[in-house]
Amino acid sequence: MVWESEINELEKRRELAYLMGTEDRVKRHHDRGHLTVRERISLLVDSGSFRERGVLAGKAHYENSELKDFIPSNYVMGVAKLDGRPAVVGGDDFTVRGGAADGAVGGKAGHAEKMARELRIPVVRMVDGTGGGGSVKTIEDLGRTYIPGNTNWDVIVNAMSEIPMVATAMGSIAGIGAARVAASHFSIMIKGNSQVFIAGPPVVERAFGQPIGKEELGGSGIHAHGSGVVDNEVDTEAEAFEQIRKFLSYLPSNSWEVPPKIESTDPIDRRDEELLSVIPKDRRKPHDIRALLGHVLDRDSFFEIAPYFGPSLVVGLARLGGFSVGVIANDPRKLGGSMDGAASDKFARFIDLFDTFNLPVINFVDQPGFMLGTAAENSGVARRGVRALAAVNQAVIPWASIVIRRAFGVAGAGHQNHSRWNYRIAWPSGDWGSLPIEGGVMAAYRREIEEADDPEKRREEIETRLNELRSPFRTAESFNIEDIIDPRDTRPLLCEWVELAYKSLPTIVGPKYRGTRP
Amino acid sequence: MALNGRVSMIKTISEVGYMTNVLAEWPGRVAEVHVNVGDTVESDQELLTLESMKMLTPITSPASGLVDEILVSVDEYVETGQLLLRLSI
Repeated sequence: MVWESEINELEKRRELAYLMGTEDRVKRHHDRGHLTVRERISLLVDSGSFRERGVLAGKAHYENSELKDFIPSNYVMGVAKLDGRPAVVGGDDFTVRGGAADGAVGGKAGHAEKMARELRIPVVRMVDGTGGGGSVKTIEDLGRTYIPGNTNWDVIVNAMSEIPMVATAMGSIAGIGAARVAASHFSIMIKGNSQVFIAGPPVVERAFGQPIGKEELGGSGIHAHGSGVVDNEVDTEAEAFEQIRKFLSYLPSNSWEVPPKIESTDPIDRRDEELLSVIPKDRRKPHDIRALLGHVLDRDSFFEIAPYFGPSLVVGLARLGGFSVGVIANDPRKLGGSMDGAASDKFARFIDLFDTFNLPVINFVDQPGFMLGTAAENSGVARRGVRALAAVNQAVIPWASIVIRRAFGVAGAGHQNHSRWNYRIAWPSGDWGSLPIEGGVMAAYRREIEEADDPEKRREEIETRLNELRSPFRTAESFNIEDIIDPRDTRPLLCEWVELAYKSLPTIVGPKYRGTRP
Repeated sequence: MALNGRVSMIKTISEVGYMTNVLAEWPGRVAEVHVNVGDTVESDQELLTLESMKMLTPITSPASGLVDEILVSVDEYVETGQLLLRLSI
């Protein structure tokens, strides 16, 4: 063999890279309840499918031109298959310089994103550390400071409109690492064992003079609940890998493709009797929206995203007759189902996602309107809300609205783009208008009520009179709604519609003109 | 951080280790109080009902524990972030 010694050296160098940081550091990482980046990749991808790129990158130490020591780059990446479909996967190696910039060699994190974008396949980034961002140690290496520029930002921004981008926060991550998690279509944190922040506790303490714990500053209690920076919270890393595979299973590999269809064992003509009693007659009583979704969508197919952020709006991916769809629904158990600032942000972001990846939208409408009151006004609900309504109008994806109950006001009107044809049906529980009658009577008939001998009695009379006109059948007479249906027919009708919708999808694929913002 | 009951819960646990505050996540009128001081409650059990946006919305327990203190009464109007109830966990 002519090149035997070189092949041996190649093997040796690979072996050294597979060792990652020192044995000590790997042990410490395990003791903290974390897997190494190589373990993570092997658990995420189909067995034996990982084709690493850049295994030889690292910092070598030579003595008399002989390789004595080798510290691999702290980013491991390559191409692999997830449930048989290709994706780029990469992750920081925390055991080498804590995943920080000065341990990186050759910008492998950005390289992975660039590769995924060119190959038009999803990218999964398991961020653990600052993810290639700055460290003040770099100043000493360079002998100078530098004006920051976010490396690869153009790729990230454009890729958001082209390929599915997934990120998981696997440890304490800050700076550009945190930005990478936020710049994704779907993100995950490990409860109690990962944190995301602009800057970690030491930097925050220096800025404010107050010590703060990392969980309190950027744990999943903050980001998967209040802030909405991260979508889902899981208990273990293994659960994160499962969710990544599941999320990607609904999506096409890129925005030029139609989502994959699977064989569904759930009959498309299933008509669940429960749908006849799921909405209470008492208008003040809420219903269980997730139970309702279970009766309509393919069995166990609903994958909820960001359940705790803007919780009055339930959003997720699902299937109907094996076709992937994007699902939106109002949850009357939270804020009465109304649209506050967070729910508005969530609405806009997921419509962009569905539109970008050609997922027909199924909107289960029970919208009382924008959230009222001082706190809501202060949070800018009007602007955040109209941004969501702008997203609805910019979307070109096939759209079906099922008005299961309320549709009131400007937010209620935003359940679809009224300038397009949408499939819109309602249940007999449908109840709609510019303003609910109870709240609107005083505004519209104030003088008549106030001038009456018995104002309370007059108010009741007017309400009764108007309530008699409230039947949704009267709306259907004027063809203001395409149809009012037996709720049991919802699934069969939507399954038929989604099959039609998929026939039109090839004509609208490709990045949408407005792009997708993180 | 008064926007979210769960966020506040974490802060309280880290501070004192055994107490949980249940805050109003949205404004509304207290329509019903389902528990009494001294009751044992399960995680996700309905503690109070707030009438908000003309809908009866459940306020559920963030953890299993004992009702320590109830700070609101029926018909009272509460704002987002207002302390409703304290649990020992």
